[in-house]
Amino acid sequence: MLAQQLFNGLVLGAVYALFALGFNLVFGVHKIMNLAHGAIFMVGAFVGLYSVTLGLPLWAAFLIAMVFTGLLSVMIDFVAFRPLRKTGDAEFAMLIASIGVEMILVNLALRASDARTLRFPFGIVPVEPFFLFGMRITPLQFVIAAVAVLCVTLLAFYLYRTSFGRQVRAVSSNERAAMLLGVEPRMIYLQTFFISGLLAGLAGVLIGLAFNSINFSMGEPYLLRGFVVLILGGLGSLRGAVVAGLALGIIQTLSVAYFPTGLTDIIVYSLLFAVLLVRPNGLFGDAVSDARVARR
Amino acid sequence: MLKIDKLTASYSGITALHGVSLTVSKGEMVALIGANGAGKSTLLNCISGIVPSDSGQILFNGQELSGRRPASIARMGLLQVPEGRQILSDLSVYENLQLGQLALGNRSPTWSHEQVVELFPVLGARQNQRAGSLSGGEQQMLAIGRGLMGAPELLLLDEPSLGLAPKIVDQVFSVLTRLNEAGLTILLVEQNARRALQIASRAYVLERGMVVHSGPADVVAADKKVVTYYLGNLADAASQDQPA
Repeated sequence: MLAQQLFNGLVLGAVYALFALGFNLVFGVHKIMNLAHGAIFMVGAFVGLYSVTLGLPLWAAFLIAMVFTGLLSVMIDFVAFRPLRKTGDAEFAMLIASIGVEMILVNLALRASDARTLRFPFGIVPVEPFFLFGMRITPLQFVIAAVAVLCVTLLAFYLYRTSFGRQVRAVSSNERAAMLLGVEPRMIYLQTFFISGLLAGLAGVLIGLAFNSINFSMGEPYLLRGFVVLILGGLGSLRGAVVAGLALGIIQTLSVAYFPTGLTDIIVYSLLFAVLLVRPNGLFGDAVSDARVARR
Repeated sequence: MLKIDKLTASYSGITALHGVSLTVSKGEMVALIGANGAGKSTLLNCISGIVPSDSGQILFNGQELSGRRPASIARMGLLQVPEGRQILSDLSVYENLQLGQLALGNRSPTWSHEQVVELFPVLGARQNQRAGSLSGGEQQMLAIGRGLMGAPELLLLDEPSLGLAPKIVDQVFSVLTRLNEAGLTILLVEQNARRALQIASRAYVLERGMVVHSGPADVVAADKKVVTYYLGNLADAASQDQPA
């Protein structure tokens, strides 16, 4: 029973981690707190659903949703953040701009869906579970776990083993020095925002499938969870995002399983406060540098 | 190689350069000295494309630089070793050097990783360490080594002696002399005027955004005004060499 709950928690945590990774990548590299990340996640779920409704296979729906949200994220950077960046010290202005973007996207989705909750057609994913070590595992849970492991591995490889990734970390460490070395920051923004949006869209489709419920406001609770993961793991720390995401998923699942449902948030946030009392900069954060993306 | 003509530029709304003209020929080591706030760093950042110029010309091998982006200027072989080293402290020493190669673009390297490590053995010994864990002098060597990896035609150095102990300053300046003797063109910006004038062949004195004096380094060093304002008397010489 406990093993089963732990596994369920890990799967939920894997989605939190995917969501938080993109959120934290943009923050860690560019110091931009993109509060539209939850809305991008929601758009991903919608695009995935519409693709399936159009008769496309599920894998194609995933692909289209991820590319769409990746490009959407790049476009948000172009329209909302880039003009502000030119003015210099604009961290706060960008935060406000991202709230504006979030409102626009949520309201567009509200109109497009008539505020209804939409569902994937029945049988799009096989629901027949299989059993492993006495645990009941649905095919979708298996897919979520596999996709999360694959994404984290690919992202780590990209950041720490490729020349592009090295340039991303260079910009994260010192954007001006990177420019003097011949790094073109515009290319870096393009990459980080694309990856960030892509991960949000992926998480959106996965959550849409897992709970089979897609609506315009589904991004909000995930943005809040994303914040918790960000703070818990340490601002800008990708390792922290993965560990804290998984931890949050497990804690939430266990508290739902063993305590009255109303207590879940109380437990989650009490634990967050407890961790912050002991480690004010999060599990993997440190006082000197909050841009841990750059670190191995 | 580098020809700057009547360059004006402003920095956060204040005009920092008032029509500066300056040339650097191939193989030279030129010193640019002046007090804090004279516009030395602004001039270097104008050349590197970080600060936009208001008017005037910057020609590098006959090509106009104004309007070009910093990355494209670096890829032309005009590399800056910025003030305060500005190493990428979260990356390893090795990765810092590898990033230096980015400025190569389509040009072929003039310095291999092995040659840079031979020049600065400490960079080889610490290649897997976080660059931020190096001492100030080691960081300066890394910053110079990183510049060399990009096959500079002209190396711009902004205050390489800043914050370094006299012994380390000796080391850094002797490396610069050797690099120059090996044919590297250098524009050296220094507040430590005495040391800069010792190793440079020509010098410019910048004051409030204007070139007030220029000529062969020994002539500039002998100028009465320069001695009074920038070199001090011999009794002050020792304190001049102290870290800032």
